[in-house]
Amino acid sequence: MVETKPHFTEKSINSKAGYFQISWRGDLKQNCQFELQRSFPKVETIYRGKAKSSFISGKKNGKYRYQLQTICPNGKSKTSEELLVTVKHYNSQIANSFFAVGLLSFVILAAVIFYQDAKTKT
Amino acid sequence: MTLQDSNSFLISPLTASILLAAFSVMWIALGIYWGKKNKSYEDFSVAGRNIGLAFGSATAVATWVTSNTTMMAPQFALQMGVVGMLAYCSASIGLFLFAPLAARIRKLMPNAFTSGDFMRLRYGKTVWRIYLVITILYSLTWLVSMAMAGGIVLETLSGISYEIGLSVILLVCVIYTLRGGLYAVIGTDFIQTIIILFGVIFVGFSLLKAVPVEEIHQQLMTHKPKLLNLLLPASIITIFNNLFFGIGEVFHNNVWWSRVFAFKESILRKAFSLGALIWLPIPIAAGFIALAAGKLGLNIPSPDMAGPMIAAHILGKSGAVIIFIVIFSSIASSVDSLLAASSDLITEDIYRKMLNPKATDKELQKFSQYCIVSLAVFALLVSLPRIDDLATVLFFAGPLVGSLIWPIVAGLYWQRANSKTAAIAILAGSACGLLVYFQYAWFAATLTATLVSMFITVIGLFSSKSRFNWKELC
Repeated sequence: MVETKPHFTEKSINSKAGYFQISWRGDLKQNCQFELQRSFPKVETIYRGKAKSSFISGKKNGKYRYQLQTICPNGKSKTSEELLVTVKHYNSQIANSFFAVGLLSFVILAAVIFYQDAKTKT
Repeated sequence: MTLQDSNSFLISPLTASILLAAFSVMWIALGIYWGKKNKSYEDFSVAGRNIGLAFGSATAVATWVTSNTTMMAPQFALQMGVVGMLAYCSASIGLFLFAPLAARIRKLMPNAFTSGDFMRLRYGKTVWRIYLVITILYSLTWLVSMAMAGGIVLETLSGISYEIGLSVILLVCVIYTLRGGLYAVIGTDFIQTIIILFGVIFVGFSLLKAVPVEEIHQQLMTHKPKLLNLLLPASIITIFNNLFFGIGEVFHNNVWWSRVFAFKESILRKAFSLGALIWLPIPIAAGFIALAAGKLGLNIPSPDMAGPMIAAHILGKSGAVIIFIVIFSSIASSVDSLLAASSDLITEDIYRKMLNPKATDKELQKFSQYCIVSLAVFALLVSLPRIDDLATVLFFAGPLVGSLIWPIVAGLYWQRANSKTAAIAILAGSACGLLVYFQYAWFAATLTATLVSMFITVIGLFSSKSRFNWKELC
């Protein structure tokens, strides 16, 4: 083990829209990179590079676990503590209600403007 | 697929500095050239009320293609997928609906200068003061979000520091707006529109050539299926929230009202409708590129960097230069409009109406120029700490502008609309919208504010006994 292990800036994230930004801190020597991995159900590397954050979107409802390490030509650091991301999308019924009400109020607004415009033009 | 960093800093800081200097000199020179037309404060603030269709529709497009279009449309697509991208396009409806309102405003107030004039004469001083607080707060938020965007773009594409990038953009816009007033703003907007349209078309075709749509679709289906889901809850909430935010921005802000007073009366409807039509496909083109991030194997550190980062990655060095110019033009075209319109509002509504009613043309112009500088300094100071992502910064103002839609429409068309109802509608709408912003989701806040304001306005219209005399607006 040659590097001090990096760590996530948050211990857990809750997302209601399927997107979230994972950020981390850690010193990076030349020729070293961060490696962000999804740690469950199997370890899978999703990013390797020098950035200190990654934006992830389009996720379904569920729990996602991530871990982080630094990799260098002469070895790897220990893996960080796990980050737990819980995705629970907004309730569909509430969203549909917002949509329906939005559509209705838009139709009313547009109708009012065009009706009044025609009326005042004449 | 393991994501990687993009080839950051595709333009060297030297090349970026040369481009920045060249375009800055061009905008300033044009500002000075158009500024020579200014013979009075009326010329400076409303461009002599004589702008034709070509310049009129171009300035509508350029002003509406802000940094938010070129940077937030990709952010929306990345966060909320296809529907998020389409939701952003709904902002063009604000311009379409404003076309008839513009004709009505000009008919009722042929000699007015600002949107504040309407609020004061139509609803009295209380509503006018509430309106001033909201519109100035909104304009500052918009200005800050654009200054931040300028800094982010320069940093992403060239490595020029965020602080220097945003300072240069603000400085250039201040100089040519100071010299040329609204003439310079509308004139440069015309050229900036041409640059933006050619740039966006070029980027769109290049992306389609580099990454076929089928491959992007396949990648999304496999790794981010929710981005293709047309019923993604967050996205469908966003559609009408964004639509009403766009409508609220256009209906209330002096950026648009100043154009109503600056355009020839005969072209008002056509100019705003044409502007909306030309603007409509731009966020689709800008937003679509964000969906290609996964296919390209690019790590996106922050969603507001997605657009310029992906485009520059695909197009290489020459493409990055084009992106740089397009985004610089789009930011400049909006920053200048906002500086000019906001300074006019403060000059007319606060300086002339409250502090110095006997001010001469020269004093007004001088005060307006002080305002332009002060607004830019304020935006600079607030932008420097880089508070939050762009969407969150801008959408904080959403509930406030959404609550103004109905009082403005009602005030323009119904004699029954009165100041008490307007004040309650604006305050209650804003309060409820902000509550949703903090307690539920920022992308539902504007819709809530608009709805609350609509209910109160409609109830007020039915119960009101007042009859406003339209001649009081002249």
